[in-house]
Amino acid sequence: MHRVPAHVTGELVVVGTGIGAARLTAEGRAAIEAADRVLYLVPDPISVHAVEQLNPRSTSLADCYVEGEHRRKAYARMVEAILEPVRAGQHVCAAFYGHPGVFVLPSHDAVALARSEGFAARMLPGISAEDCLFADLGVDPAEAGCQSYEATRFLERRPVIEPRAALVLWQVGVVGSANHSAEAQAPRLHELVERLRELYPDEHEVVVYEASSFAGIGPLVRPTPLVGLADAVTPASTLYVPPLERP
Amino acid sequence: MRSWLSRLWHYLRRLLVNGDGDTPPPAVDGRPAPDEQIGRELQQFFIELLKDHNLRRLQTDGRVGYVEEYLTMRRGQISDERELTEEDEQRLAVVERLLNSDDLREMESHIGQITGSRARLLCIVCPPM
Repeated sequence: MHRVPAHVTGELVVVGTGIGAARLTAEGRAAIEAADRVLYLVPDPISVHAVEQLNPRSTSLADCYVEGEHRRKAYARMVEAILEPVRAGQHVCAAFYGHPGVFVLPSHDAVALARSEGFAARMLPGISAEDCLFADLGVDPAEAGCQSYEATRFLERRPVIEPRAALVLWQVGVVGSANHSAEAQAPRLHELVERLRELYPDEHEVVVYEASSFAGIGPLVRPTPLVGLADAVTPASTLYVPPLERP
Repeated sequence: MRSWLSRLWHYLRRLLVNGDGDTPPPAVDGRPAPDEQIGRELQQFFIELLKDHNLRRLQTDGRVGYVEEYLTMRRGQISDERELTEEDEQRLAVVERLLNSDDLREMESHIGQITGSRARLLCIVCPPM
């Protein structure tokens, strides 16, 4: 394990840039501006511009991905890229799109590793895709409860589902795909549909949802009966399955 | 110079894709083919939107009015640099249509064509298992 010399003052702040550049919080913005180094991962060039405008000492983590390689290797590279300047005594900000603690592995790993090596590390919240979903679809998880799973893990672990509560499945557009690919692949999408059909009736209306990254532009919302789900999924979509019984 | 090269590149690309420099690329799913220049116009619009009080103006003026005013300003910017071409007008018309729609898919497809960006459209950060 890396040991921190007494004089080294490196620290890590992990922030979320939200979904789209306009959704960065004031706190996240300040953390980006104040950092000696910023390592960021965002999906659109407008957010790239926004981060680099706030801090010219910014570097994208996008190159950590290698086509066809398991994504976990990319996440390990991201963690190392983030920790390296921390170990060199710099104040580092790692910025991930959305909420950095929600369905993001390298952010949690970086904070845990930094702390284990004796560095100060903290995470600031951001606006996640699920936050946008609640706003755009007008649903409140307080009404019937809400279950939230990563789509492939949902298939692998087959958790007990309460159909009277809402269900949110993340990454349905890449379900069953562990490797990085510039083109979305969802090899287990039909299996996912079949699993959901075991839990809900075919005609149950689900919503394929994609939050908009662009200020002023509405989200992608595709209501579809469960049986037609496979044709409605988009690469970056999240699936919302309403409760079977309205509260 | 850059504009001339850009036009040459687009002409050659159309020629390669269609074998006919005058025919636009085929439409996909009823939408025009993704175009980097349209993507760059959209990118510029959204970057401008983050400046000053533009987000507030978008909300107070409404989207249609704000977009119209922006594109008038944009035409002026292009005219200051060079002659506004038919191709510019066509591109800005597509941009106007898109900005007044909620067609996220088409917008993403154009923006996804921007080369050299350090964004990664499908940057998944959660392992599947």
